[in-house]
Amino acid sequence: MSAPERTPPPIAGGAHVAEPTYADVNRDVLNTLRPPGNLYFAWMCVVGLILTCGILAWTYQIFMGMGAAGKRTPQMWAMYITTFVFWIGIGHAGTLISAVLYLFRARWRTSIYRAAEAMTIFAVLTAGLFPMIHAGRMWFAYFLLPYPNQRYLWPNFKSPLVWDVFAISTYLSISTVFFIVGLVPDIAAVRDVSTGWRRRLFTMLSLGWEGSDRQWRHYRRAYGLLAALATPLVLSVHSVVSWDFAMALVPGWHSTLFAPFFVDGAIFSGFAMVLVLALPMRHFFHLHAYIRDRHLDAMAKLILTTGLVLTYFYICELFTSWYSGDHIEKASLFWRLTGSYSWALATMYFCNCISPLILFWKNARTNPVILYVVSVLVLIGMWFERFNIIVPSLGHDFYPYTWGVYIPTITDTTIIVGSFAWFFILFLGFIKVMPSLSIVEVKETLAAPIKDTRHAGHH
Amino acid sequence: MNRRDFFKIVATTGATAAAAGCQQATEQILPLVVTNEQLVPGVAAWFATVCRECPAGCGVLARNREGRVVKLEGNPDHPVSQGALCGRGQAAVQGLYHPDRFPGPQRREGDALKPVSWDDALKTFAEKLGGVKGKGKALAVVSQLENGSLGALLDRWTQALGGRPRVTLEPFGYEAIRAANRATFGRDAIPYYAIHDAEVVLSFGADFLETWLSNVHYARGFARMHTFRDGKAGTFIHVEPRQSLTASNADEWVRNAPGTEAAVALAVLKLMLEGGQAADRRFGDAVASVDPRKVAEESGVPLETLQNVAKTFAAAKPGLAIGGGVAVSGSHATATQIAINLLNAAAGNVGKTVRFGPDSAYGKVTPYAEVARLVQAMAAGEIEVLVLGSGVNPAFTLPGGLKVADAIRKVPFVVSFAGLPDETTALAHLVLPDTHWLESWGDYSPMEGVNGLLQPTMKPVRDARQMGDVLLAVGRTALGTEAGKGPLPWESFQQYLKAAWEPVVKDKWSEALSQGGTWREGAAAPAVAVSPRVERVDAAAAKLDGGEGLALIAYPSIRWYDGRTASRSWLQETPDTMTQTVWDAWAEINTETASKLGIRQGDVVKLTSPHGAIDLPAYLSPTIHPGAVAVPIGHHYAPYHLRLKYVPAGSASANPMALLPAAADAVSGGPAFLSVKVSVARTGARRPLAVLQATHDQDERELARHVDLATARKEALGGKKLHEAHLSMYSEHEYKGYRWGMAVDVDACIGCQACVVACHAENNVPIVGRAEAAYGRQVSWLRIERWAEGLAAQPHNMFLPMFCQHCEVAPCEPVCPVFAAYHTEEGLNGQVYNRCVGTRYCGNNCPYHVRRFNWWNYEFPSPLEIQLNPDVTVRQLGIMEKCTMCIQRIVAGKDHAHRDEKRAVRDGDIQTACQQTCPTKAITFGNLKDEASAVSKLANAPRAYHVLDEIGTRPSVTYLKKVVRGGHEPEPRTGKGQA
Amino acid sequence: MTKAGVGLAAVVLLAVLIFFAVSAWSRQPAIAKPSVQPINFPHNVHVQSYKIDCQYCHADARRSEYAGLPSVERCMGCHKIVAADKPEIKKLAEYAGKQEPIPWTRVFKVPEFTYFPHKAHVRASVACQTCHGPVETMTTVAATTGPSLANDMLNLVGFKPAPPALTMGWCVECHRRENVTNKRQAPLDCVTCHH
Repeated sequence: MSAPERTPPPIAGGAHVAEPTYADVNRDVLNTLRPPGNLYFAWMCVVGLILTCGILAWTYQIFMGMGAAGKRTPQMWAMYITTFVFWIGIGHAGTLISAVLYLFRARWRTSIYRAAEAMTIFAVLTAGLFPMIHAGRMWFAYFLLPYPNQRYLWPNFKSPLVWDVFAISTYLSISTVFFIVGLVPDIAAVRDVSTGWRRRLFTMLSLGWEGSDRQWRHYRRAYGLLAALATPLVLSVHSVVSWDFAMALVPGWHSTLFAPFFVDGAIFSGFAMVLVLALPMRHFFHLHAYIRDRHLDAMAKLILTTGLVLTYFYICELFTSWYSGDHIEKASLFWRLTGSYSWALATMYFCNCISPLILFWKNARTNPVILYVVSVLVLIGMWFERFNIIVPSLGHDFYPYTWGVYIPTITDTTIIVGSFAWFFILFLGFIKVMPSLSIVEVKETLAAPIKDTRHAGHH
Repeated sequence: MNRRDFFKIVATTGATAAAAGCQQATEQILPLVVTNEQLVPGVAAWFATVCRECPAGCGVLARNREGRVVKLEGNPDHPVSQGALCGRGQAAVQGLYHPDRFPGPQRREGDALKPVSWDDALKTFAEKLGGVKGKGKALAVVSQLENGSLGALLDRWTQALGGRPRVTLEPFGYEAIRAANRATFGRDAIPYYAIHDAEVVLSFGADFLETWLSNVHYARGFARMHTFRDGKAGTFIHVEPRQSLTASNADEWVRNAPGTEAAVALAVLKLMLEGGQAADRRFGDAVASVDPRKVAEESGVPLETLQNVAKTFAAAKPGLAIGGGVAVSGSHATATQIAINLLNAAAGNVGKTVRFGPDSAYGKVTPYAEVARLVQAMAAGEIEVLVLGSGVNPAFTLPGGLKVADAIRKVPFVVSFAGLPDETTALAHLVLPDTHWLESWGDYSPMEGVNGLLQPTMKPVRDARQMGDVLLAVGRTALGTEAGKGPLPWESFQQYLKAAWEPVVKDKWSEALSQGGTWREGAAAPAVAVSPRVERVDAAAAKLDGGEGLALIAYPSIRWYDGRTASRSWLQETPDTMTQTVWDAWAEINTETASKLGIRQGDVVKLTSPHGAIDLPAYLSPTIHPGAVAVPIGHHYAPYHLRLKYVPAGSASANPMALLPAAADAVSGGPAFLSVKVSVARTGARRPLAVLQATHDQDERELARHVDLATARKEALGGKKLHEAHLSMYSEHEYKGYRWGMAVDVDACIGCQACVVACHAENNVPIVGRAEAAYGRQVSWLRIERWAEGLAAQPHNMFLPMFCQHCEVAPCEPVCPVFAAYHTEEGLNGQVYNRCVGTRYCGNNCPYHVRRFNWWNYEFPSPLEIQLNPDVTVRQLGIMEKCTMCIQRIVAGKDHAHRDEKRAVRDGDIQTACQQTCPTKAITFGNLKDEASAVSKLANAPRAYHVLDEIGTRPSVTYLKKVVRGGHEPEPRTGKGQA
Repeated sequence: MTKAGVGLAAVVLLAVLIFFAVSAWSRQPAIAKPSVQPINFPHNVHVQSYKIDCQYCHADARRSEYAGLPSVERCMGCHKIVAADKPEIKKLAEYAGKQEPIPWTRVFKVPEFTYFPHKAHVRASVACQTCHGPVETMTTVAATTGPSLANDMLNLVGFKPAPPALTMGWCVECHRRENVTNKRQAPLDCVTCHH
């Protein structure tokens, strides 16, 4: 990262960083949009390379058949659906921060919600790939779209997979609109300082925003309305996704616990991902003045809470299978605990239940390194949670004849890794074209230089 | 009729059938040149003929579509098969369309066979024959068991050219049975065993459900005798050192030390006499010297068991004792057979269940001793021209000690009529590919009074000529005579055949053809009265050379017989029911013995006998006798199996025959199969077996259930109904027309896998190969599961045919996002291939895991694609598929009933492929809405249950509990096992 | 760098689109062009001028899945004498002479995964023209049938174009109509045709 010519705020993060002025905000945020340095390019190259491998692997799979992925009877689903659910989960934190916290007027959200929202959209875009990757004949995936056709056929609205189609497309559209609306004033701000093609582009995107009184009033209404619209999605989308499993018969899936279980897990992993993205941003872009310790602290607390709730759900899961008295249910549980995949279960318990506990310690909550490590562990843990729900449950279900163990192949592993590259390439691209902090809302949280009733008394 | 024309159509239909779902190029339609009312494109024509895959000679009907045979079915009128067919018979079409079939005649140049024109080939052959003509015994002819016109022609031909008497080579000749019957009844024959009339069958290693004499016929008889019906069921006791498929169908399996069958049989007889149960005392002298206690010690069979067996057998009116399975025939084989004869005589079964008169064709097989003599003559260089008929492969099927290959190499000119390359054609100088029996004229008589007639069911797939025609032509050239004159006047073999049948059928030739032959009412010739000669029997155990080590049990398998059917990929991919292993042979070793030797499952072990050595992966089994190692005979791969990577390149096949001695059994003149001990040593290499079944323990899930005979009888007479209460939020399905369903009698299923192969043939089920199958990717729609209960060493096995259950409340239906899986108007679980997107949700949600996914595009190597059933779509990659209850047959059946006969479908109109071929009639299909239909009756029978019914899927497939006979009550690990 | 990002996104998008296209295209049945028939057979002459019934030549239609084509022998039945001197008939005579079948190019074809029995429809006295069009007026039969991507796209954007001939919707429409108007039992169960 090439340092900005004006002396940056002291790197030593923490409460004692001076409150920035409006001018600082503009400067610092716009700094993030300067032409990227070598480090950035290096990252892009690495990520791009991985993504290419992923695409090649996928093409190979399409032409050779699903056999290229390690699936089998009984694990007809495996890592693709695992990763699909994982990404959907990631998306959640974004909406939670931008919509729910907005409605609750949690002011600390302002400095991170832009990044979080971008993350949401990219996460959903990544997740959206997986149903296609996973389908045996993806070129017929359009059969799932409900439109009048020459075959006189409709999709089966009873099928949770069709619910997914709706849930995800709704989620994607709403959060995209919400995102764009939130951007408008900032784009205007960027427009004012940029030149050349960027200026032309931003002029177009800023929809003629001048920050007039009327514009602000309408803007606020629209924003609040969208927030209200987006809020139920936080609960609905992942509930629907969880029903892919809960609605099925498979022992270990067939449980009413799943909806809240998945939603909580989603928020848990979502916040971890926000930290994984925000901490480097704060480091490389010197945003310590905006992403302050109290932000980290708040997010750490959320991770801790959701983590504890998740632990509670795990215990419930174990208890209900045991208490059900159903032989097959218990056999499945026992195998998950002791069978070929017990290592995966252990990893999950450690990452999701043990590792967050360190956040009870105040200093840990504000220590970027510890936070970063915990977040990464949580992400790993949450990926394995989905893996443990899908693969071992299928591997030891009703019918002993077909019990078996799934072994990943190079192809499906490459595609999974590629999907992460896809996500990061989108995010890296984003932070260089759009202000990754909300100039406007950050300013709102600062003391105004001149008394401005219109702005102040508002909240 | 002109088959050439039909065959032209094949080019298009065959090619396009395989391309389903993919790009369709512009096609040509080739109509017939000459109109033929007999064969309408799109309508199947059926030709009756006789299955020649083994000497059992079952009658079959070949289904011909557009001039190509696509399916075989047992001929319902034929007394041997009675409509059924075994897996080997079903797979015969894969021999017909075998990718490795010789494209035409071949001549050896250097060490390779090179194509040559028929004219040249025949010229060479004729010259060589001219060379040996009149030179005494320099010409030898070897054929498989041909007791009909071809046999007669061969003999005449050989005689005319002054050759040695023809040798009929069948590796399994059952010489001991003939020798024993000579001794006891003064009759050199193998009688007809009326298993179906017996109350108790006592078998000493006779694997009559697998290969013994006539497995389909005897399986059907066994079903009639043994399957629970109206409160009655027969009893079956089997004595064998390992738990074979036949053994695991026994109500009581008695494990004896290898080679002690004679002693056990005599002990049983002795105990019968002591118990005063046997009719006449004359037999006392025969067993005077036998001491049951000593026998119990030697054979490891508890005395009480022997007593029970004696009691049960003596009580039977009538009973039947049989023996002489290949696996147990050693130096004691004849003694065992005599003992068995005495048992039957003493119990008064002779004439009742043992019937001389309708003697088996096996009686005509040249005894092994003479075969060995011929081989010695070859080795000595006495033979100048060796003619090998189709179906014989001496270099592979004869004992290794005989060094057949070396002997054949000593013969200056070897002619083979084999259609497929094998170990023997590799030594031949000239290969004149014979037509497959489905392309040939001929006749075969499996037993006295039954004369089967073979006719070409289609034009030859390859440039092959019928052996008979070739012999006539060449013979005439060699003899310098022309058609119409000399000893070989006939134009063609067809003409010869007609001439031979003229006196029998008179003007009824075409009737005989369409019926598939002629036979007397009541299946067979009348029984001939015989009186037993009682004599001392030597109770000594079989002599095993090779000193230390394990007794080698080389047994013929139901899938490969002597090896002639191992080249069919269907049979390779169909698992061996007991081990559930595909695409391999193995050495079955007792678990304890193995742990002593430090052998794990899948370790490659070297079996070494004084006569040879083979490498095989080990299969550990708790059931086999600790002192024995068992290896299936006849496993080998076809060249294309390796070419298509069905098995890893360089996978070696191993035949235990290589370990056996040359010497014939002195008494019977038969080969001594149970005659060596082998040392078993680890080679260090590993070759994990492709085992399809994860576990044989059903973990208290009551998938396969059983009920004891007493309860079953009580319920059957009480007529207790099966009632299931169903709570559901949803309304019941309404069926306007039919509601199809099936019933499977677990008590009748013997696990022969014939249905599995039939399903492959009917439904275009692809082959996936060894690695894929091992990884749970086999596509077979139907599987026979083996569930074991009770003691590990003496398990009680139940065979459960598992296929799509067509549930009323089907878990697969609601989860499919595109209605590819849906409930049809007739209660089936429809699967619409072209609608399937391949989300595989249904596959996860099916508790039975009977849905199969196309992980790749599977190929049907040419010309096997010609066999594809044109009524069934060939599935593309990425599609889910499963049992459809043969929907194409349902559609055809309805079409026939509704349009041609203007009536509703009657019970029995429609048969699924698996039901049709089942030798024990374990499977029933029909309309569940019709109270009177067979399937409805079974669905409401007291023994009826549904697999995993506690889930509430309410399958349309009903299973009937296995009935466990008294005296053999398995102890399940928990009370739950008792259904 | 954004360009690269956009570029990569484009690659994926393109790939997806290609597969849509390929699959739609692959489902197109063979289309015959008049010129490709080995003998220029004029249906109109046979049907209109000589009043020959369809099933005289397509004799299997009433008893088989396939309608069937006349054997060379049957053609020669008339053409030994009739118009024997015409060039096209000479071609026919050649085939007859060589005892070879005439390699007609297939015009009407439903996909392999669709089972269409002529028998059922002929017995239900459905006119041949219902599916094959006014063959009696054609000099050489040619047809464009089967699903088209365009039709799907039109539907997608809200238009309601009629399903093209010999597509599933087209079959279903007729079956439904017959069941309502003529009280028939034309099956609407998927597996009747797809098995």
